[in-house]
Amino acid sequence: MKKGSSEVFSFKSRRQQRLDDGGQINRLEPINFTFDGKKFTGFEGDTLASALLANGVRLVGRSFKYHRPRGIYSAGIEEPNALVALRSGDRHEPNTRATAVELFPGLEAKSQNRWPNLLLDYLQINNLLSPFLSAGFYYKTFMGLPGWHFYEYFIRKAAGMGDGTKFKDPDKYDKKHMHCDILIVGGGPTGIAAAVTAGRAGARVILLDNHPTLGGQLNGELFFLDEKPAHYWIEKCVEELDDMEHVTIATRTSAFGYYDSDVVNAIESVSDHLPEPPDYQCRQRLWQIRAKRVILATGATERPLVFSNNDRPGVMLASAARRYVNQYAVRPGNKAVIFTNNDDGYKTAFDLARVGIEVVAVVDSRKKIPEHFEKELNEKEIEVIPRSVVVDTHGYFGLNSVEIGTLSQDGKTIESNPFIVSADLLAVSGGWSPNVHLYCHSGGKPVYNDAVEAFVPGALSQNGHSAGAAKGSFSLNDCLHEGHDIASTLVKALNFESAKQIIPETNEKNIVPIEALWRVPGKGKKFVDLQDDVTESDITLAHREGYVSVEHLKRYTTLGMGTDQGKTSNLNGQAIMAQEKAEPIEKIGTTTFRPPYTPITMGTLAGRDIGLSYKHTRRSAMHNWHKQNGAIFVEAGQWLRPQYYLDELEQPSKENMDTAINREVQTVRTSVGLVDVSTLGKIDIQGKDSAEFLNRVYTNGWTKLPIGKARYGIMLREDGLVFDDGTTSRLDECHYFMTTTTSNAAAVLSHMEYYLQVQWPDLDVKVTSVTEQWAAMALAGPKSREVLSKLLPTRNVDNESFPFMGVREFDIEGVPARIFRISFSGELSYEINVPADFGEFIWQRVLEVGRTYNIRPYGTEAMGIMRIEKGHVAGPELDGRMTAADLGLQKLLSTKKDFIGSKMMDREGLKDKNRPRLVGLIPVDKTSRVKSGAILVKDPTLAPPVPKLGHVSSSAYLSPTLGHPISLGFVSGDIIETSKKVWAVSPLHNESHELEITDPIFYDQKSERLHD
Amino acid sequence: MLIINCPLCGPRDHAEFTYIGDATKNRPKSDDISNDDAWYDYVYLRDNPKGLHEELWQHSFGCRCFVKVVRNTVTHQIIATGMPKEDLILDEKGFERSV
Amino acid sequence: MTEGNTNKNFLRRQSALAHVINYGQFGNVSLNGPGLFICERHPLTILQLETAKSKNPQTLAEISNLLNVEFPQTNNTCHGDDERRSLWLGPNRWLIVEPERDCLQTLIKTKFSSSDVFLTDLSHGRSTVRLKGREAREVLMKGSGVDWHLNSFGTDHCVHTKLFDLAATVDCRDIDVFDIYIARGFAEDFWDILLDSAEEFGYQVD
Repeated sequence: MKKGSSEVFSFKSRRQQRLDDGGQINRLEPINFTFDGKKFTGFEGDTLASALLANGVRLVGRSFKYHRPRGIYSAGIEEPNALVALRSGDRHEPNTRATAVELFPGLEAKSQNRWPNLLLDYLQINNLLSPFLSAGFYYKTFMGLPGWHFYEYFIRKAAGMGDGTKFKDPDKYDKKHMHCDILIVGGGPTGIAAAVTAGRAGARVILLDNHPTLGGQLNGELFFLDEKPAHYWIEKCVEELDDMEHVTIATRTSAFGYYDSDVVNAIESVSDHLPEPPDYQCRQRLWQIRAKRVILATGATERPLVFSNNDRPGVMLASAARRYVNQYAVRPGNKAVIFTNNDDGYKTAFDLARVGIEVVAVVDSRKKIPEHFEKELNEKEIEVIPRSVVVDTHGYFGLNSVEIGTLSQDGKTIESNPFIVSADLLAVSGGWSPNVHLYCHSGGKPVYNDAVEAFVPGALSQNGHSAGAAKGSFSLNDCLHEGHDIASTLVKALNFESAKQIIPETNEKNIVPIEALWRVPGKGKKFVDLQDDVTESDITLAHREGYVSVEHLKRYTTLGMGTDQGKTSNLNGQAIMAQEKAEPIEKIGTTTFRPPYTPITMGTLAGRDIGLSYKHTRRSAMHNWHKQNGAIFVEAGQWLRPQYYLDELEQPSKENMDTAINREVQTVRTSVGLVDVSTLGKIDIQGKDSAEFLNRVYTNGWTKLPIGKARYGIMLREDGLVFDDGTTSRLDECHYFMTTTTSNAAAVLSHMEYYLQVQWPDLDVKVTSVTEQWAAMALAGPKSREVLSKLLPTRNVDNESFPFMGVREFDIEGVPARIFRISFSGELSYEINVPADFGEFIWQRVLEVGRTYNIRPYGTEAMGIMRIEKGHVAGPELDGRMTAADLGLQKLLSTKKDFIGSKMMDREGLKDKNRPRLVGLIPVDKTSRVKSGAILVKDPTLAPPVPKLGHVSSSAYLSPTLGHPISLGFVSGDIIETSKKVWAVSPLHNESHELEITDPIFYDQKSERLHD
Repeated sequence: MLIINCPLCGPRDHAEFTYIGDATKNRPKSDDISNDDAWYDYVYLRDNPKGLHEELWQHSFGCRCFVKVVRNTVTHQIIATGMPKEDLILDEKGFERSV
Repeated sequence: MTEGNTNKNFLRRQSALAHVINYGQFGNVSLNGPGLFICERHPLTILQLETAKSKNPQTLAEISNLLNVEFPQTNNTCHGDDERRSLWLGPNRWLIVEPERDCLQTLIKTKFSSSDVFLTDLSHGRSTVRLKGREAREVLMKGSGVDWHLNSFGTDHCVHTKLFDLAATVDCRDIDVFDIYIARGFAEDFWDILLDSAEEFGYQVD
């Protein structure tokens, strides 16, 4: 070992680092890609990170806060540093982990958080200012000062991640619901062993792995199983599993959340490894998996060590360094120092030496060095420096040397003067943390295990059983056996015959226990969380300032808050806090892990529910006719309804909304119109107790309603307030037909089912929604009877044969129709119901027959205006806060019977004479448009708070019949008695209008037009 | 997500069900002498128990039956389901997990 | 697919899908042919039958004899064939489905008391789509959390569930043949989603 020598690191002369042979890459399939616009070549089987390393690229990004140069730190999804922007244009995706991106032809990647480029980043001044930029710096300095919003923009820009794209995502996302007996998360040795056992037993198994192939950690190691390289065993198992029809293997599928009822969600990356999704294929698919039992074989993540300047490009996790060598045939460096507190570093030392990388030294902080490595260490001429640590590192754009010193007995100081060795790779291992995330999502609480110096799963919460490294069993032999054993136990619990599996022999060495080393003494920046630039001194600061709970520590320092959610940093940070507090780590605890385990796209969560599919659309049987005849649609809940029709006699139509609505109202008032009312809820009621049932759900009496008649009724809730209104007709002795408001259709059905099933199961009544069965249209206007009689030439429909509130079943040109003489508009009116498949036909026939009377279709606006003119209450009045008396419907409250709400409706507050009640409102100037929702007050000029006297519920901006605007609203009883006028204010719109209080029925107060 | 075992249709996603309310409340009988307190309790008063809770759900997208669900409000675990008038046995066993 | 019909109203009965169906092959049709065959079944008679709590215990058996179809007593199962099929809907509630012929309702009503047997015509209230093919179960898996595996949902099973967020009844007619009943008003939306989900497998609309 040459002490003190230092090799000047040259960034520009990139050296090819690909090994001549080995690895799991396909050298026959070269793949071209670009990084920051420069062209590179990798191979099939590479990740972006391995391909960059193979091309000698070490500097891949700038850090979040200090803009320090950063390199590739890991070889998996835990990567904190190598975040790049992928693709461009509408497929641009920021913050992807280069270590998890599979290389594909034409891949385009860009570094992030640097300006103008990676080498020359102006914001690296933050690094020079770093003594000031401690935890909470920005908030302490700028918050509270005037102009925080001004500073915030620059601060956010200076510290940040990649930018998103503003284009619409061009890709499709899919969803899939799965079921299985046993779900196995993780396709490493534990998961594979479990899958074989469970599969052989005959259980329905789903095995998930987020990598392109199964194998997990085995792919990065040189293990032998039964004296053959491990991949033979993997292939044999995969072959066997592939042949089992009841086993599903899903690779590139990442379980990201464990929810209630043992539901696990995963994302299948269907096309992410391709330049773009193939035709008709989605980009990603969300799997919602309902499992009877879950095996969490999620493995473990290696931890970094915390020492000065531990973030330079060239510092890398030890397991990652050997994975690059073993799996990708890449030299992550040429001259390596290993720094470890456990056996893992030795594996790395041997694997690096095997491919000719000079291993300068293994720096082991432990007092006891594993003896069984001695032989191999000697063979490979690797020096071990026990009880020592890396004190500092050097090299700005990449590591060029490390300082090594000996640790004092108490571990708090460095004993001797450190010496410097040159190295461009420093492989570090601080031990392994089981990936307990999914276990925690399931409700489990992890417990600290001193033997492995990490949190491991504690008691079982749901049915998610951890096994292997995820449980803290890090030896391969343990993983294989635990996988088999847990699967065996679970299949038995699910009543399958358990199956045998001979677990292969491993060639592992015994493990010498880890000795925790949470931080190395020293002065420089010691990064704990590389992604968020949280240093050891930030944590000690948090401790000094009292942010000692892990949850406070996280929020104060941002420890573990990056896209990696602290996979490599959490435990180190918590352990340092524990040391500061002089408490055991288990007392400090962990922060709560929540889904998602890894970053997921919003697109997958949304799936198909975007754009028009965001909400389902319900169409009436006449929808197509409306569409072709000038209807402008409005959404009414899920329904699309014609709001009004633009007259299309001239093209383009000369009408606008106001003139069209005006014309429609006048047509109905003077002649005849037709409106689609299919959306009204319709409920078929049958059974011998139907009348008794109606008596209980409606407030008025129903026993005397004759066959062939309809009656208006209101329903209350149990609390005595009005729930819904509508008409119900008696079709037969025990057969009724109920209509509800459009918006309450489902609620009324459920309400009635509740009473029939739960409260009054003795009543023999059946209720069925028939809303969709019937297309309904209201033929309204003084000429409606003439149109009807032309439609039914053989039937007598005069006032005596078919009186007001009469119900008749007729045959219209072979179509069975139910016609109800009821009116919402205030005119003579017939609601024609026909089976929906005949809806469009009959609609057209009515319009044809009515042509001589200038019949016109009308929409919801005209309908709304006419019902306001008539003072009919609708949705805006039935807002769930009104009593029957408030609505002027007290005469519908029977005193002779009990009904739902009758016990509560007479409470003092509901009987108060001063409650706001329904009135008509007319602007004093006869022109102002009063917004519905406006608040009624006595004087709009008073300073708030002003007593509220009521509100405007529905407004017609112009009543064509009366020639001025009208509204319905509610005004306090005492005001109605004492004053004739009130002000409507809408502060949001800065409007106030004086209104005259009138009777709510503006038109035909005696309802003569309905009855004749 | 919760999976609710409909006594008629078997285990289904909770999205198929509509939550109705507390299943422990009994509607006062109509022929009771009007008892304001009983009605007040039935309409308004609800406990917010930590632990087991009897709830009523409707399988609105399925058989449309009302289902009584015993749910642990702490863990969300559903211990038992049955028809509305069924007495569900609520011993501590509900918490135990056979592997 | 047009079901046999002699009714005089036949020409005027217009399906909710009449304006949206395009026939032919679409999507990723492979050399093995389309993974799915999709068609509308129309016009059908769809009748809901419920029996009163106080009914004569023989009533159901008598209707069964009259119609020559069994009313399944097991939850979520069906009986019969394309000519006449009965589906379990809920306790004492069934759906009878057949191609529109004579008035089924009248046939039952003339023989049974309306206080024992309740009939509700839903023929026009439902749109019926038949999904057939090797990928049919895969498409169902995209839309609902029901376990569609053959072992739990085989021939003559039916479920009432939320399919692509819509209330639907799915009847397994054969291993890879499914009839889906959906509320008429949502038929167009359902059709669009179904086709979108089927695209990756390639489908043929008959």
